[in-house]
Amino acid sequence: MKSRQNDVVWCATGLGYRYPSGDREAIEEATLGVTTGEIVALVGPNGSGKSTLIRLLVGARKPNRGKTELLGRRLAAWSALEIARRVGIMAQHEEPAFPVTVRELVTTGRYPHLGAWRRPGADDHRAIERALEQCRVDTLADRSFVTLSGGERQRARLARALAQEPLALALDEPTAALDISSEMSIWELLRAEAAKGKTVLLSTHNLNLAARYADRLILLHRGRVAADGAPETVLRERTLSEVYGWPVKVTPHPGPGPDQGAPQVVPLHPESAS
Amino acid sequence: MSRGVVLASLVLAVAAAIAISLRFGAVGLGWSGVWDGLTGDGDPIAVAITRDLRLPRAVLAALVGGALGLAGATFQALLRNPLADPYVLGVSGGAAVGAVVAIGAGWAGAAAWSLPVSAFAGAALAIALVLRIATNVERRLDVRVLLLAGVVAGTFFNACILLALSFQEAEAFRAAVFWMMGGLGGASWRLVWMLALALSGASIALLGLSRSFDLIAHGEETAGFLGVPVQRVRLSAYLIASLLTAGAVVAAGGIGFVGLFVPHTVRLLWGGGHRFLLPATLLVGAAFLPLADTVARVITAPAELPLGVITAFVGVPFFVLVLRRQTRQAPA
Amino acid sequence: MDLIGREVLTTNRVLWIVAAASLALANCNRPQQSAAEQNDAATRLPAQRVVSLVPSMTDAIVALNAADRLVGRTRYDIAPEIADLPSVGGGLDPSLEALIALEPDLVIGWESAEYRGLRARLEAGGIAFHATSIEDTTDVFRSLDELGVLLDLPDRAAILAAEVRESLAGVSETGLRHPKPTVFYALLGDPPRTAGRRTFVGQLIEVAGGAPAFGEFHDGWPEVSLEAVLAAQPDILVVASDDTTIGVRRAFAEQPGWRDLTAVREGRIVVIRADLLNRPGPHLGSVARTLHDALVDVWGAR
Repeated sequence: MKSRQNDVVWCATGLGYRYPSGDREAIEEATLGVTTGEIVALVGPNGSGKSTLIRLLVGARKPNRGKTELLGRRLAAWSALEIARRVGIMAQHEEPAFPVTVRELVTTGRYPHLGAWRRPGADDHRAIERALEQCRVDTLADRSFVTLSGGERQRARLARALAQEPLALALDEPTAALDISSEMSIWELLRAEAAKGKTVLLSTHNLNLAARYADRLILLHRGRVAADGAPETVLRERTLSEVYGWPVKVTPHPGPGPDQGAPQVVPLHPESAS
Repeated sequence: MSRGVVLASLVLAVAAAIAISLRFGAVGLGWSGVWDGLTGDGDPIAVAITRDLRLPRAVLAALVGGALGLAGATFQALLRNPLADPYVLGVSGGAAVGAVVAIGAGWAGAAAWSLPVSAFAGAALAIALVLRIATNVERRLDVRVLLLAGVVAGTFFNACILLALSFQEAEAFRAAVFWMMGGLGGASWRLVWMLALALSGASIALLGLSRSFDLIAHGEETAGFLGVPVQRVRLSAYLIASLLTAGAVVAAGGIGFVGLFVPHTVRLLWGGGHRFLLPATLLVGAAFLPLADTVARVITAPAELPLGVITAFVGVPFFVLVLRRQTRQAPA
Repeated sequence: MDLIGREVLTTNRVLWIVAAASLALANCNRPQQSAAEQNDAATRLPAQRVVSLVPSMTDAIVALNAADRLVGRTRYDIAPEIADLPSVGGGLDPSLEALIALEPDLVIGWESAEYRGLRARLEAGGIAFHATSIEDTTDVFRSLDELGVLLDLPDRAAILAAEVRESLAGVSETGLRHPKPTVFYALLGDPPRTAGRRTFVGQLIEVAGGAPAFGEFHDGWPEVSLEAVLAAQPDILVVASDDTTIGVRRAFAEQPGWRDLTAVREGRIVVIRADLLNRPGPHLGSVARTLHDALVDVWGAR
């Protein structure tokens, strides 16, 4: 365990949620916890409830059942601004309606601290510059967001979340549709942030990288928590084949590197399943 | 050019536009004639023309232009749609129906304030209706349906006006032209004060919301994640934009496209967040409309063109331009 | 993708060409149509069942003692002789069905583009259509002549015309204080309109002893900006309204711009009933008399 203290960031018990127009529960009986400094990856097939669970944990949706605590306090007792000062949240999709530069985008990360009227001060500018550098988008600061590549966009959005100077990050598929180097740079960045004590909760479809970078995986299946624990305990061939409906094989990462030995998932040809 | 310099120059541009609007008209007074008229030193006719006709008209034009520009910028930010504008969305039409109802029912005769209040109710109802039509089961706004809903609502409101006016024969046609095409011929100081009051209150309130607008324009869900009370911001901003639209409609009838191309001009020229965009839009609108009205008064003098004709001649090509840019940017 | 793009472009070009060609076609079609429009109702005279869509012509028919030939009226015709007749609606937008149901043999209407369909359908149904245009007093007398022919009452028409001429001349002989006041006929609007010198209203003003303000305008009903009215400072305002004189004067005194007119401030506003002033018919002489007397009231007699 990497976590230095065992402070609980998120603690949810018995969560249940159904979308107003949904025909089934999007989340059912979900119980989970996230402690400080952890990287926790939510994994599971499409529609298994990963995004919904993140929305419930950050207060964007109110659960029909169960309770959630953030930093030891009932989530419902937090205002949206209070949450935003502590949790940097990244939605899956975002399409600016009007042209915006990277710096303008990252600057909006200071909103939770500035409110409607206060002018950005030295602290704010420092936070913005640091976030731009950390995510290596400082050289793109004056580019228009829509002209960026997919990887650059995600780094710019992550920079905005970091400019919030949050204790924790909640990221919905931050590495979706990225090429290898873009994806790896995001994971490396998250690992560096976690090493500095930041808590990271993210959803992803990349089981192999999650296995290498996350301290813990939470596998969701039809809105329920199917498995929760260290990568090697969650990534079991039988569980995964059942949840994903596809035969897989799990082998250790061949190395070299610090992740040598981490469980890696290889989908098999459908007829080769034994 | 820094943002402050831009805003300062725009203030000068508004002053220049009002000056030009004062200078030109059916009767040639010359700069000195206008000055003497304003100071009261000129002959009584020049005084009457400048003080009683041109000055309230020019100032009202500036206020209407500013109000429409601001309303347009607000709708565009909230709806995340660069083609939104009070006229396109049918909000102007709703305000006009409210005004016509107040006149037809005799409320306007009984109490002067009932006309703007009724127009405001019409505008608010119109935007509520259009949003209701364009909201899908997931309670998300369908932007493609939105403009269609606006056009449908606008057409319906025009029909309502024509219906209401067909019961009052005399002058009905002229009144219909006013409510549908707009005009500043009825300018008076009373209207100026009314609109100035609404506009200054609305400007301050909108400036307070401007950061939220930035975030909402980037993405509604993200705005919520950054702590913006999206629903509350949207509700208050819709009400403010309806108020501005209603004020403009009561003062000058239905003038189209100002709210569309003024915010875009500001975006194209200077870009930037709403903290700058909103005041800049207010000022560009306030500079544009007195000039457009001057053209409308002078080009066929002593006859006058409807103001809506001028704004449409500027606005429609602009609308097409924005539309084409947008469809080109959209992924194939 | 590229192919589709090219196809769209080609389609677009074809559309432009079609539009341009249609326009050209529409253009060369025009003279033929207007030739076809040329008058007139050369059928079955004298007319026995008449509907007049032109109120002043209706008045003239009544004045010719031929009210019994009328089988319908517009909603603006309220003379007691014909008030009981069925209405066909407005003068410019009558109900075609109501018209046909009355089985007229002659319909008198305006020379107006709005009628194109109406006129063709009436004529197709064997109903004669007489188009008239009354701009000035000459047209009034011409239309009386025409009515004489259409109704086969030339003698009565000639007598009526003589009476109208006489009453107009009678007004001209009496007099208004000199110098002649400039008179502005105000059709309210944004901007206001007035009557050209060669319209019946312009001529009525002259007959009544005034000089039309903006006499430089000859034809029609030109828009005149309020500024120009202010600069001209006419001596008297003439307004067609069903409101009382006091009501009209008060309304003008409250309007920015209008209230700066000396004529308004000094109460020199003459109000004539709209259905009198706007009907260039057999009552022209009495309207002129009314106008003259009202002008004398505010300006003084010679």
